[in-house]
Amino acid sequence: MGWENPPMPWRDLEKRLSGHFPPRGENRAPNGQRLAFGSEPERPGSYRRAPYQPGEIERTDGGVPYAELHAHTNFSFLDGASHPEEMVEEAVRLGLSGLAITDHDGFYGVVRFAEAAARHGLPTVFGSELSLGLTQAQNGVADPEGTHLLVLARDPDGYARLSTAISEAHAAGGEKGRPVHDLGALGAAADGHWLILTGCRKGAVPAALTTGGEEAAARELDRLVALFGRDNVAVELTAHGQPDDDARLDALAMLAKKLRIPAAATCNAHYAAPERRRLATALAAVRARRSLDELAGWLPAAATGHLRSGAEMAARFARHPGAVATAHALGQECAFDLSLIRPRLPDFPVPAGHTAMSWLRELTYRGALERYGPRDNETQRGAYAQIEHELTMIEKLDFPGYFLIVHEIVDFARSRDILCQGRGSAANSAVCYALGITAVDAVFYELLFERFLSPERGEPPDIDIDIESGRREEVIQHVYERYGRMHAAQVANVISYRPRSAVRDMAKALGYSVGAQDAFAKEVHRYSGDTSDTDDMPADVLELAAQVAKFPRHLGIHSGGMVICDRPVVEVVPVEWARMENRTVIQWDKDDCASPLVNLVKFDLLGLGMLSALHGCFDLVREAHGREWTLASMPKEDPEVYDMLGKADSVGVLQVESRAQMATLPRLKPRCFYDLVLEIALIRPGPIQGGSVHPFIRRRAGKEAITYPHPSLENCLKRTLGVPMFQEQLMQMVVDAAGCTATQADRVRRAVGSKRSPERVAELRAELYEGMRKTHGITGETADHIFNLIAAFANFGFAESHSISFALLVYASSWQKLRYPAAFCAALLNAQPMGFYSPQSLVADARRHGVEVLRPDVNLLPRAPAWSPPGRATPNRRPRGGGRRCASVCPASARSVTTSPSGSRPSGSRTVPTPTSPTSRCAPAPGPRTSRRCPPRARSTASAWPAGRRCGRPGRWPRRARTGSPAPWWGTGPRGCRCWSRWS
Amino acid sequence: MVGDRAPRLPVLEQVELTMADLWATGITPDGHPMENVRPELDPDIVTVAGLAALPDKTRVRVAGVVTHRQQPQTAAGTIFLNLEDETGMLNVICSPGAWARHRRVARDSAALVIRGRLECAEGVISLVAETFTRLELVVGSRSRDFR
Repeated sequence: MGWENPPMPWRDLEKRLSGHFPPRGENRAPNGQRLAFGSEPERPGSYRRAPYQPGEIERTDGGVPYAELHAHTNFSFLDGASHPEEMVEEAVRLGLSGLAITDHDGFYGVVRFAEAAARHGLPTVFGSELSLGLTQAQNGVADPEGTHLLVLARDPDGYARLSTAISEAHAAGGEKGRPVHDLGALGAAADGHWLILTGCRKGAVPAALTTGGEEAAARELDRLVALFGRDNVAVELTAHGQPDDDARLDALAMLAKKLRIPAAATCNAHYAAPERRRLATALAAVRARRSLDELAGWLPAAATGHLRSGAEMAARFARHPGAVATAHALGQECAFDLSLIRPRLPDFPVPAGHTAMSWLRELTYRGALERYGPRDNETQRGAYAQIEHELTMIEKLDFPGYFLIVHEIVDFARSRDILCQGRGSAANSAVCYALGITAVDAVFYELLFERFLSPERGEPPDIDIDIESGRREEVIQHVYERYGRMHAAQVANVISYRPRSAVRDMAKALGYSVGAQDAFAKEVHRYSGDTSDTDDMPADVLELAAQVAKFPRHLGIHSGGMVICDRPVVEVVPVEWARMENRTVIQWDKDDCASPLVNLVKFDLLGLGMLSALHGCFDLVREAHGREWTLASMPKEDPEVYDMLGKADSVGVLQVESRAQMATLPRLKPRCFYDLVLEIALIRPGPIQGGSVHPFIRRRAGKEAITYPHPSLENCLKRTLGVPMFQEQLMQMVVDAAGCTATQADRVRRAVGSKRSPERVAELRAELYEGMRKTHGITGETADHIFNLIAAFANFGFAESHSISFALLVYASSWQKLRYPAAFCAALLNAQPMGFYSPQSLVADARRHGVEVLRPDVNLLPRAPAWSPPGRATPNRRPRGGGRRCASVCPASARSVTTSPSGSRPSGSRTVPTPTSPTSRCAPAPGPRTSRRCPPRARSTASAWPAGRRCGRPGRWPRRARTGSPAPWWGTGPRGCRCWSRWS
Repeated sequence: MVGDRAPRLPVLEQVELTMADLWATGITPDGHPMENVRPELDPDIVTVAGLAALPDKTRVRVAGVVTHRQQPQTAAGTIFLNLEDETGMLNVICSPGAWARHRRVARDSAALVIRGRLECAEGVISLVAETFTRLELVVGSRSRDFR
């Protein structure tokens, strides 16, 4: 689910929402790409990798079976020059009987490799080329030091051992990019589960041959045999067309014969096909941090490092009969499926006498008692029935451990007074609500649990937790401590070349000056890579940049994904140090983890700046006013909040502060909480094009009649005036119109929405039509119309649960902006970097609202930074892009306000909120605005929400009153509001 | 005696103060950088707050600091700019044609004078840009471009 606009021009979408469907031929994406019904182009702004789509490959069969045992992909960063998928495709084209990927010191690309290979039925061998004897990271060195050891895993056990050994080496190195292996320890770790090849020219044996002659080489080979066993070592013969090939290969083959170990031919491929050679050399130059001219002496003379077919290898190794057949045999021996290493979730420790499921049940019912009251007197009808339904499903799918882990993380955050809440589809679950993971009452909103968890999906649930960004690190470190660094690690973010970095690096490799590199990079569009208006970009830069686009360059840390599993994570995927202190990351990114081949369960702990700001604002208000507010005690449904938003006065407010949202706010004119939910989900039009306005807004303004495709859909579409806006609604439409179950509805949603085969869609379509005919007798045009609505909208709808979760924060931040503009502004500055606007714009907006902003003053800095928890020093935060700017803030005490240099404050106003940027302070301006500053007591007490739990547990969301009216917390909303009718 | 009397140093001028503020904190606490140049601007140039009083389709010139440039991939090449002056913020819509014509100026200037046609509908005001002129500020601030 994304926050981006749909990949369809607004006018098309508007037509669809309004009930006009283009004939099939006109169904096109913005870039002109033709779209099949129910398919979508690659979503802009989406970082999710599309599943691998195999193309047709014509296999050649030269009659010589051969498996490649030594190949690098571009996950040998800045060394390999082909994607894993390209290597697989080329291997398939060449008719290889197997392919080993042996990237340097890691398993970075194995998931992509295995996924592609599985689609083509290519046997996979997993291995790695280990770097021994590194004294430092080797970037910037023309000829990296040390020796190489090529290790292939013989079986899944060998895979785990190799993965562990790589992790240990990275840990021992203590720094990114410098693993420290100990050859002796490797021998012990292997225990017969590895196959060792002698490697390239940097392997110990060939290197000894070059420097010390055959005797030295024999000594090295003896050492390997002694360490790993005679059955597990093979001499590698690689012919790259060097002048000394014949002599070297003869010597190596002789050695193998002498020691009675096999000799296998390999390609030591660094790219799939010869045409990538230029790129490979350019990448080598980038890695060595010098230009191609300077590196020329070290570069291979010809394009020989590519994959070769069995027949070609047989011809090349005619002097060494059997070498090619040996490679084939070894490949067959070592090949296995990556899915064999698939881990499970760890067993969660539960009190004696409980199973994970019974403990989850216990915790859920404890929470339910708080949220919904006792079972025989539930405050929300159907709550317990729904919880029971969900628990049954969780038990059936065997996911109790997942929920227990998330619950523990959330509980920890609460205990440390860290604001957090679940987002996304998890909010569809009443169990999550009862456990305190999410803040949305799924029963009250009649949210469909099946949107969150469905037996057919066969994948673990996905709960994303937003945590206040300033303190997320505490939660992450807690998870490390709780599960241990061996069992928990953060997901990597593979940093790939974007158009600009590609141009910059390639220009660097080609020897252009730094100034020229900058100028070229500026010419390119940041994301699309559009170079149509590049006036002076050299062709060679463009050509190489186009090839290197999307290449992985190095690993970063994913913004919050952590994986936890039952066995040490290091047995599944190597773990290495990140640049950031105390962080270790696995070598896979989130898409790799989610691959059905491995199914490594990921927990998303996301930092949300707005939660930091909300927390900070409450703290500042407490210090300056002595008023204690919490998210739960804030007055609900404050009409002035909606007045403010209706005027698009929303700078600083979560989500609706963007320019696009600001342009819809005055049209939507929100009047109650649910309007905010709609506002977030409303698809934002771009420019005002030919008067096309979202049909929901037209209907809401009374300019269009509210109609429903069929009376049976009225119940589900009523709250959005007949226009489908949420994914849950689409599922409900299927349920209501065709009489399906929610599980079937989820299947329809996903099938129609994703790139599935047209046959599958057609099949479902037939089922739906049949269901509609049977249930309501819907046929003909009406049936078409309903199906078209579902199909057209399947890709775009927001999850309603997600919108509700965010709307809670939108309301909270709006209320703070309205009532405590100075404290809110200060808290926003404290929480930088965050949000849409720069500190300068935030301050300018505050000033326009009558807040006085003072410049930094060391005398006003009683302590800094403002609200770091005791005993924990947080460095001053630096706003994005600012070199020496410092936006840390401290609250001005009453004393410091009076001694402030600017002295004169408007009389009659209290020393309100306060601070903003470095020690400056905001004081309210005189005039009518002052009345807005402090919320009149009358208003907050008049709220339907007595601030009964003012000091309630932090992060606890408002809940319905258990006594008195069972209305939801926005229950005081204006009765005239139309979308209200659903609940009244 | 030497040094018994401190030399009188000149007080910072307003512009210098703004420069120092931006350099040190990225924030100008007591005013908007546009205020410094407003007196020298053509009086025809309307402030953002002043636009609300004008009828739809009026052709106007507006000056301000560019805070954002955006190009949503779904907008078929349309570029959106956010212009900020001392009175408020304004959405500027730039067609692909206008962008191509004024790309260098529109892309590389920290502040701009934009001439265009107003679009007012239901309380939403935006400007459809026609021409761009660079506006020299003593101190520029960084815009958030194409994020």
